[in-house]
Amino acid sequence: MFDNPYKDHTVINALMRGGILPVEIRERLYDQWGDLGYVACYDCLEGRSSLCSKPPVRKFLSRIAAFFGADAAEHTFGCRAAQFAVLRAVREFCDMDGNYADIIVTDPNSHYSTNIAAEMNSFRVVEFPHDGYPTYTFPAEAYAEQIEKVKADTGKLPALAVVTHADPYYGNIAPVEDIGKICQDKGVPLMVNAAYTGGVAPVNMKEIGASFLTLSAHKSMMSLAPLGYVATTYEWTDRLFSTSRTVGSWTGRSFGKKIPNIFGCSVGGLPLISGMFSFPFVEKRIKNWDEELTKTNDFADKLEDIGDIMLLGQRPHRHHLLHFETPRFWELSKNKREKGFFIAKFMIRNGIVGLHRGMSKHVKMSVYGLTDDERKKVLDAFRELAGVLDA
Amino acid sequence: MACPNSELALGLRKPKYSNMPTLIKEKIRAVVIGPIEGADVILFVLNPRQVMNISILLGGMSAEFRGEVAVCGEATAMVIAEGIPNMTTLCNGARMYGGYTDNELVVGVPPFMVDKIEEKVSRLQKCGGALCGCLVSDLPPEVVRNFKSIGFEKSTDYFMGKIGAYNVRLYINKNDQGALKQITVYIPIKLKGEPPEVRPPFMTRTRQNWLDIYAVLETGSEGIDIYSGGESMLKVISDIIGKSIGGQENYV
Repeated sequence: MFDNPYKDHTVINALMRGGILPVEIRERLYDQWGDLGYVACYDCLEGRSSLCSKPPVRKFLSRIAAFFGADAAEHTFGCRAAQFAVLRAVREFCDMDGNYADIIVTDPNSHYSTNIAAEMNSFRVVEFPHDGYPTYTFPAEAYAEQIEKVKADTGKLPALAVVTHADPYYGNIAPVEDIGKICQDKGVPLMVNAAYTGGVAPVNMKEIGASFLTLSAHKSMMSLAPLGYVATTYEWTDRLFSTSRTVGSWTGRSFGKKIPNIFGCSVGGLPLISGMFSFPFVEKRIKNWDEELTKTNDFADKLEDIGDIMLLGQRPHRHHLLHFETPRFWELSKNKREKGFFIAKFMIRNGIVGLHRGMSKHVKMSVYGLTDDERKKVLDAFRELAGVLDA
Repeated sequence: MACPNSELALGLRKPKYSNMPTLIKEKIRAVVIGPIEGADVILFVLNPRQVMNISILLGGMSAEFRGEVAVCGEATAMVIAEGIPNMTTLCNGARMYGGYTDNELVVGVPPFMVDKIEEKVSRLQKCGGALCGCLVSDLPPEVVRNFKSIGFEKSTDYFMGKIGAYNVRLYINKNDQGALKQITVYIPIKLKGEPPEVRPPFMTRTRQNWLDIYAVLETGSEGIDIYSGGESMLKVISDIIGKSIGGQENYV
């Protein structure tokens, strides 16, 4: 047995802030559903958790689809499993249709799980350059150029374009609507990886013109891990969510309700219930996105005022993931016994957790959803660290 | 040739009094040692660790050796004849006439297998160095060492340090093919008063309340060698900053 040493700490990890469960549901969630692994499976008649009516998973997934402008959605073991499902479906499509090359085009700030999902499905990943330090952005037209380049090189279109809506490195928001138009014009399906946006910011895949949307519930939808969603359009539903056709050679068993692309039947435990409990809060909170961005940019500005600290990525920032370069803290760390670890340790001593241990040249963090007092506490801790609290 | 056995092994002479097998059937008149283009076999003189690395890069390797006719026979003639790599532990002739040292081994590789080695070496470099296993840049180690030697520490995919009063960032621009062709000198300043006077090659752009002063220099131009000779690069950049940006005293 071990306790969580950070239970009462203020979390500033950018991967965690959007996934924190609403206080209002915690007691009921653990009291009612926290005693069993497969809690969704008491009344499962259909053989797949996403088809359950008690608890109402099927209805819930319809709500998820509608919320994100999709025609259908399934829950997955996180966003990486959602991406795998898409890449697997596109692989099958690519193998049947001779017009597409074994290539996908991604942005240069893609999450590693995109590249791994491509690798698992034997796709070569083609990137294009970003504009480098300090913004690391790219224009939508880069997709048009890259698609044409693949076509010129292979005589075929890339099988899929992928864009990371908010990237995990700098928190930049990609021009997804323009990319969607380009991909539709070129006839290339588009997957939007919205792991860092879907559930904190408004995201609508129909407005984007995407064929697939991948989401992380534990990153951005106030849920326990692991939970994600893959959403798609009518055109791709049958292919993405096609059911198993395998038959056991000796037993004759078959598994006709299972969806191979999501590993048959997905999460049936507490994470799924947490996602269902939290969803009304998610629906409500995305209306506060602009206000959250104002607070985020205000915080960044004040942190930079310490001196020798600069926010990387887009300005004004359009996402809550903040990546600062912090030569100020790096200089300080040189004289500390703990070297690069001293920042995270200092913060933990001050009741703040989530900074990457060992890093001092850079700080990646988020103040999304923090109260005014909590943001002040975080800011003051950085000021104290820099020796300018009273300045 | 100084070693009579090598003349036999390489097919320059036919054996008269021994049963030594002739590996190279064609009539050979001369052996050319030179660039790898057009070569029949490529020889690597390596230490044991490097043999380990090359066997990884080649996807595994079997070795057949007996300490006789080594470089000429085991690493050259046998590789040409059989079309697969081989390693030799050398022979007395190699040590006596060839001057090989005791920690050296020779691996012979058919040219078609060498084509991908350079690409694989660069991939191997990318596989190490990050605690989490994911690297956000593939800047070569010698570039990182070069910048570190002049007080510029590697950040994510750029270098940070100070020149005079300024916090300077050095970003190595990749072209579309990923080649390191340019270096951008960045001086980001959070504006609180009048901006400094800036002359070419420096340019400016604003990002809200930040002013980026930057200049793009060609790698390989005079004094800008990102791989070695950091001091001369630092001098060139320092001189450009000194001549092109005024009012440094305001940004100390």
